[in-house]
Amino acid sequence: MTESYIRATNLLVEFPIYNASHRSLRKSLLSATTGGRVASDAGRRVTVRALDDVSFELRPGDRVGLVGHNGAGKTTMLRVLAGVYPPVSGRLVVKGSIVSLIDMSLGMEPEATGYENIFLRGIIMGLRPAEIEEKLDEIAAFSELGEDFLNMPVRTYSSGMMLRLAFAVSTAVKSDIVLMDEWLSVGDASFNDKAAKRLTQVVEESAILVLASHSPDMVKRMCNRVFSFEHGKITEISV
Amino acid sequence: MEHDNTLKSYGGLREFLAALATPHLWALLAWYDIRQRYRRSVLGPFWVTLSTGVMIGTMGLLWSVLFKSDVRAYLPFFAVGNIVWTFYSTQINEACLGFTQFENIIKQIRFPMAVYLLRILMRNLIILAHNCVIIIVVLVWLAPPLTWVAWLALPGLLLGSAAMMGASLIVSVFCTRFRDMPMIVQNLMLVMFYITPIIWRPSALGPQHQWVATYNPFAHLIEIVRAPLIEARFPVESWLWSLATAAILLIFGVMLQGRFKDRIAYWL
Repeated sequence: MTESYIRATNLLVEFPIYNASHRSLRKSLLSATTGGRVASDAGRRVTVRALDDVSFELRPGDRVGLVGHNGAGKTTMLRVLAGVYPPVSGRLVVKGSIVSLIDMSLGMEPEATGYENIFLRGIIMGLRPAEIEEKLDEIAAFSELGEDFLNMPVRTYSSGMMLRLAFAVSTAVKSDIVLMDEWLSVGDASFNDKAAKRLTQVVEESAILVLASHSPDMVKRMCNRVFSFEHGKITEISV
Repeated sequence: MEHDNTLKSYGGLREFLAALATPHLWALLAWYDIRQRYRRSVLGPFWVTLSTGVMIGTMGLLWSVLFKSDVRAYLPFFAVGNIVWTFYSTQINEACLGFTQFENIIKQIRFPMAVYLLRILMRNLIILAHNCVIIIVVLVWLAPPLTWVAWLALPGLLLGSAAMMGASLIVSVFCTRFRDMPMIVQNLMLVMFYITPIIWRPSALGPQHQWVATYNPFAHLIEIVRAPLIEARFPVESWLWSLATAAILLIFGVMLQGRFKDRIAYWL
């Protein structure tokens, strides 16, 4: 676990915008205070530069908070770390297992039962069916939904119950690197305490946390390094 | 999960093999997809069997009257050809939307891109397995000469699936980047249906138009499944054609994926 690290050197991430009437889009976006930088590349295609020359190195023990406006590049950064958007140029090396808590209920299906959804969610998190089988009882117990509800389609759940299940599966895996978009909070007061404890434990057992957040309190509480994003550029600020 | 974006040389082959090595990401999820689709229906996926059966029964009778051919000989020919064609064409048409359909997953987590296409292929194979009931009924009922050679239809189908996987790797990339492509592919497949020996026999073409069937890869991909079943014949020439088609499609497909796999998320 101590071996895991993230090393980013001069990362550049640009989104091509197809079918855009580029002049008007360019005008309207350039003047905006939020968002990445809009420019057109050599082929006169409109591109949005989401990350611009970003370099940093994360070591075990680093708890990084990403702060900045909407559209400043925080979520894009998380997705780049998750491997979704390979940078257009620059170098990114991520060593260690990653768990992405960006979307807790990704992979879940309303028509499937609670138990089936534990598998569906687990598989999308990168678990093998045998691993999910092992954790099944623990996940079911943590969700407090009970045998009866877990055998019912998830569409019959309240949104709170649905979130509990998603949370229970999503936090069942230990991992070297945890990516999170806003600190997760779930449901009613009593469950929320339990959930907070579990989430803190997942984070403590991980080597590296990267948390994108709009809440300065949360970042202050959880993080020992803070990266501020502005127009896709990154500056490390003291905590 | 570890990644290093500078290792672009990972290439398509490594990624494709990685996809094959994680069957829970496609076989299991395809199974869930099918269960999902028919969750609250009584007949479930056998609805497909039923509607295909009705269609083949009606069309089989109609065509055999129109072409003045013996129903007992024509129906097995049409049934097998049509069911295999439906599998091929559905796979290609669905592969066009293979990445756009799973956009929400692709934008959150990185799996080998081929898992989404394998999931669609698996789905269509499950549907095909249900349609096989019709083939069995037709074959048993009309009893063409069934021998052990009929089993050779299975490796034929496997080869056909490999070719369709290759085609899926190709069309998925183009269709994700150029959103007019799915419609173009759809139209192309419709034309292919008519110029492939499915409702008509290659012999009906006459010698000067024989090339329509000879140089049509789909004709051979269907023949390798159909000939063992209805004629108890192993079509050597069609196998060679099909092997070549599958190899070319897979090689080109894997190369294309290798070149563009890192761009697909950006295009969605």
